[in-house]
Amino acid sequence: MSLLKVEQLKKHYIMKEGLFNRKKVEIRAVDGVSFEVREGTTYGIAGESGSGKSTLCMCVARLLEPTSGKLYFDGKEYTHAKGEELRRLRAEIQMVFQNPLSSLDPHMVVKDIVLEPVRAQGKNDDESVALDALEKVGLSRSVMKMYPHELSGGMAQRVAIARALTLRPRMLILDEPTSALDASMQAQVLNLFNELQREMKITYLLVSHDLSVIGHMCDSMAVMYAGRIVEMGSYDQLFYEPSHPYTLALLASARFLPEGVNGDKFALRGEMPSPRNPPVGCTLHPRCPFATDVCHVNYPDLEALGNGHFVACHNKKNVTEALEIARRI
Amino acid sequence: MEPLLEIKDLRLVFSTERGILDLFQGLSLSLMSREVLGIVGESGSGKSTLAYTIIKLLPGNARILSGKVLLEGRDILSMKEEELRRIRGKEITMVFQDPSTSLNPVFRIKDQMLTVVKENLGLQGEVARKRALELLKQVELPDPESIMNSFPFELSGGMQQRVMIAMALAANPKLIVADEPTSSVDATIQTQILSLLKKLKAERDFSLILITHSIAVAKEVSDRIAVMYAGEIVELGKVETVIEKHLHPYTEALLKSIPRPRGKSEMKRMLPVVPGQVPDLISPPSGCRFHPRCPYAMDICKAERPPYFNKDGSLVMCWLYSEER
Ligand SMILES: Nc1ncnc2c1ncn2[C@@H]1O[C@H](COP(=O)(O)OP(=O)(O)OP(=O)(O)O)[C@@H](O)[C@H]1O
Ligand SMILES: Nc1ncnc2c1ncn2[C@@H]1O[C@H](COP(=O)(O)OP(=O)(O)OP(=O)(O)O)[C@@H](O)[C@H]1O
Ligand SMILES: [Mg+2]
Ligand SMILES: [Mg+2]
Repeated sequence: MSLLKVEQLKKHYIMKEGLFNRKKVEIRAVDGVSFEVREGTTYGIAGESGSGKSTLCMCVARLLEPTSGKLYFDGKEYTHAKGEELRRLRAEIQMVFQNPLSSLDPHMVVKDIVLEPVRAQGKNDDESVALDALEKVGLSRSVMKMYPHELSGGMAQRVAIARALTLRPRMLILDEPTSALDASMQAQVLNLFNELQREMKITYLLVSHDLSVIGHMCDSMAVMYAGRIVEMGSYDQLFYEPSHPYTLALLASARFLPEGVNGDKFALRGEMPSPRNPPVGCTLHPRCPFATDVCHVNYPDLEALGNGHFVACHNKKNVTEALEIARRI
Repeated sequence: MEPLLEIKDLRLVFSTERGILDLFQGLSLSLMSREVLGIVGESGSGKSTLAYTIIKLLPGNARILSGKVLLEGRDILSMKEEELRRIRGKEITMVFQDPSTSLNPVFRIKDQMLTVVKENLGLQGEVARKRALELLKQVELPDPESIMNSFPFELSGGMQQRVMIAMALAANPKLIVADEPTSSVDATIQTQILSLLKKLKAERDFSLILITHSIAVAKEVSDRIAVMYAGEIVELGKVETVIEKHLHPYTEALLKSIPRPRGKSEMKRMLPVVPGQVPDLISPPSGCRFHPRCPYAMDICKAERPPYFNKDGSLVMCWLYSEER
């Protein structure tokens, strides 16, 4: 059974603009996203900057109120969990934020930051709990008395991870957990995540724009573009049988297409559309090398390709064919 | 052929509250005309400081103890401020990591582009405007006219970075130094910028020093790669050689620690990690600075700083490659 289930989740931000804030602009940061994560596995979310990954994470962690849709944890709906129910949920779902420094309270020392979640749960807040968690992420006792501004980006990120671990949550939401770390620190932290999963069956929702990280860590994954999932499935399906032009472009830009395939064919033109004014039809069409007339009119539905592989593209056949041909050349 | 840029035996320290931070203890490097050199290495290894030394734009607490930085034979380190101004932004230009801090937020792109073009090329009026538009076209910005009228915040990170590159190209520099030019943009935009740099390099006559902590990025555009560790260039060679036949134990560790997508149906695995921490350069390790973390360390590594050894066309600062061993 799945530990996390997300159903038709939407989060629209309303921005007031113009003279006397009279003009309202709606930003559809997350626009109808559904997926499930099995217990003890890692689910990856990839996608361009601004595609809605962080917004999705904050909704799943119940740190943002969704506009609509449903959330289930361990079979129980928690979309509108409040009070005691929410407090208990916090013990099971923890989040590590994208920006390590700004996510730590500047007025607290590291020891108190790390112990904050256990205190909120009324659990054992012995110094040893903090020490234990800090040790796991390779930090020594000396950081306990430091304030966030005394930490480097990499150290701050490890403190944030230590804090998330103290409650031994069942699920960890990791929003770009290693982008502030250099190569050797990143390797240590990724290893820690995998070890914890082996030991404690912990479940991860992992956001990264680095496909090497996703490809190293994930069992299943989704690719987001402009607030929607454009393709999802197992790791093998997305990396070895990609069917959406955007997935292909991502793989091409990271040089992860099959040996000998020239990625330039699949490169995208231009940039992400403005979320204030998204293109009509498929949001990718102005940049897509496969776009046809229908793409200018209708947004494609997510269609099942079998074995849990889903893709939203009018021209998925042309995409897979193009990849087949490129493979043979 | 004479190198375009030659750094000779550079010694540089920082004075800090905790004491003297001994960064470069005799660093040498040369760059040929039209060559692209990638510089990779751990955070704090001295990549940015090296870039700033090349244009002699160092913080007040930096002290150069000895060494030369020769641009076509002229020593930049002994130049007066006035002479330096004729070099910075003209013969050597820089592209920084975060475009939003190097573009002025209160001026339109037009004003910033025109200043650069006028100052560096002495062009005026319509001619200057045409030249600015041409430069924006060269960096493949769509609709240059409307970009000219935009303020920086109206452009995405990738577009801002391309404006920065256009400005760096304006004066027809001999050398562009780019410090993490793609770290603040995401993967697909990063690819666009790297292929742009490759295209420009093929079309125009400049050399490029590309600083990055990502070997994958360095591999994309470089002819040669320099690997830095704790203020030393520990390995320097052709891209393929450094990546496929790496010599230095640190390069090996660095390459092994990078995650990769698994093969089809392959199990998840652990990444090999270098044990220990990056040394504190206020009291750096004796001998080879990598020895406390090196799995192959020998007695001599603790005692003596290794010289460069020549192997397979690469230079490597490691006793493992000493002939007498
Ligand atoms: N508080 C907010 N108010 C209004 N718009 C917002 C807010 N937070 C995010 N957005 C917008 O919602 C969209 C999705 O943003 P989000 O931060 O979720 O993207 P992301 O995929 O995490 O991007 P990145 O990879 O850069 O972190 C963007 O267009 C962003 O500008
Ligand atoms: N102004 C300064 N005063 C004191 N120490 C400094 C100063 N600037 C840099 N350093 C130190 O010199 C070393 C090299 O720093 P530098 O910024 O050149 O590294 P880098 O390789 O560019 O790192 P990164 O990948 O994090 O940008 C570090 O140990 C750093 O702490
Ligand atoms: Mg985000
Ligand atoms: Mg730097």
